[in-house]
Amino acid sequence: MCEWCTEHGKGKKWYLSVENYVRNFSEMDDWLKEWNSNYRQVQAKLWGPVSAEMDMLKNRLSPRLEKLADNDWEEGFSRYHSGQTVTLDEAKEMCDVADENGGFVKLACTCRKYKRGGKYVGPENTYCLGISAYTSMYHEHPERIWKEHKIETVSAEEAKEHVEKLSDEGLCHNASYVGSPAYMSKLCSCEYPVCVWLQWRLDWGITGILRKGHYVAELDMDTCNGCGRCVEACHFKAINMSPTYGKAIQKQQECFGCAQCMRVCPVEAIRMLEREKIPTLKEEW
Amino acid sequence: MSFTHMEIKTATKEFPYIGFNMDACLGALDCGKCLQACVPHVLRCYTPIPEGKTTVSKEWIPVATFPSLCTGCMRCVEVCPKKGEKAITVTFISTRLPKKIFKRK
Ligand code: SF4
Ligand code: SF4
Ligand code: SF4
Ligand code: SF4
Repeated sequence: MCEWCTEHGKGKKWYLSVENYVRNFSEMDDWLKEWNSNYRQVQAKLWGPVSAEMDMLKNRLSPRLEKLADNDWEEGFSRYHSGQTVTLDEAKEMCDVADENGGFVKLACTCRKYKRGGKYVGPENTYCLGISAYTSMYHEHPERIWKEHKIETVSAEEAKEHVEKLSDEGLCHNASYVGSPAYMSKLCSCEYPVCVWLQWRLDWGITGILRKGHYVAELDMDTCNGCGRCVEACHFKAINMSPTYGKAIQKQQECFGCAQCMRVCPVEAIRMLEREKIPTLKEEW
Repeated sequence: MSFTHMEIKTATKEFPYIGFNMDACLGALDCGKCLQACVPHVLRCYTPIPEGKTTVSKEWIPVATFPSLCTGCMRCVEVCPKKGEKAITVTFISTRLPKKIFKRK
């Protein structure tokens, strides 16, 4: 269990704790002031030229300097916008909690816009579900939201259908906050490398941007028939096909617990274990 | 037999430098052709103007966030409608990177 759950979930999952859904946007004044006064620097760092320098650092400098850069980055991300992988079932539980605390908005994905430019700002880019702090921002300060986000409010049923449909399409889900885990903001549907979180975490190893979920997949090689669907479903490079065995092989250390592989497996060869119960992985976030 | 020592030598590697000329670029929101052409998702866009204040394409600046993933395929340069004015250029810098070599005695 990491500090997100111990400090913000009373020892239970932070993204299912009601107290993280009830605070609204207007309580975030200090954070917003900081965000606005640093806007250019934050943008340059998280999305712009400084970010590119980070990539250079990673590829050129000594491990000691890399470490320094990492710490800065870890803190930077976890203070602005960060999240954790959840399974589809957990995503639906989140929908239930959010339904009673502010409801939902459906909006176009910012990552996809930032990665692909103007072509990906229309309604076909509607991947994100705004909840809690984001919904309150939409209702109280609509002027703060990009016009191309194409926001619409949806019911709990529609929200669940939406995440299920995206899950069927092959996207994995992440719970996200703004400022601190006390302010739930979105339920994301992500893929590598389009979504920046996955790319940063997988290519640079920054844990401050995306944490592993509360589950770990376990593949039973005796049951597996080698169809390869789980390999396609995994965005985290945790499964490959083995020509030697003619079956899938999994690397549990790399698993983020999104449960997408379990959903696509036709013979139920994959089950999800609780991370807490795996001795060497329980502190791996 | 075991490995007894490790040497660190340097090896030369071509590192891409992806440059943008914002005077010529049409802006990533209206155009963004370079972003869409890049297979490993090296490029992205951002705006230094505060949220909610701009949808002006020119203020959405393309930038190379993951140059280490760039293969130098030049697709981004080829699709750019302003390539004559060098809105985007990819050049290579030879850099010396540390390389570990394990040796047996
Ligand atoms: S192995 Fe399965 S549960 Fe783990 S990250 Fe990959 S798809 Fe998700
Ligand atoms: S989806 Fe199931 S049966 Fe197919 S390769 Fe993966 S584990 Fe094996
Ligand atoms: S040269 Fe190829 S890989 Fe590099 S940024 Fe351009 S399109 Fe992407
Ligand atoms: S393709 Fe050329 S003009 Fe269009 S956004 Fe990229 S650099 Fe600018």
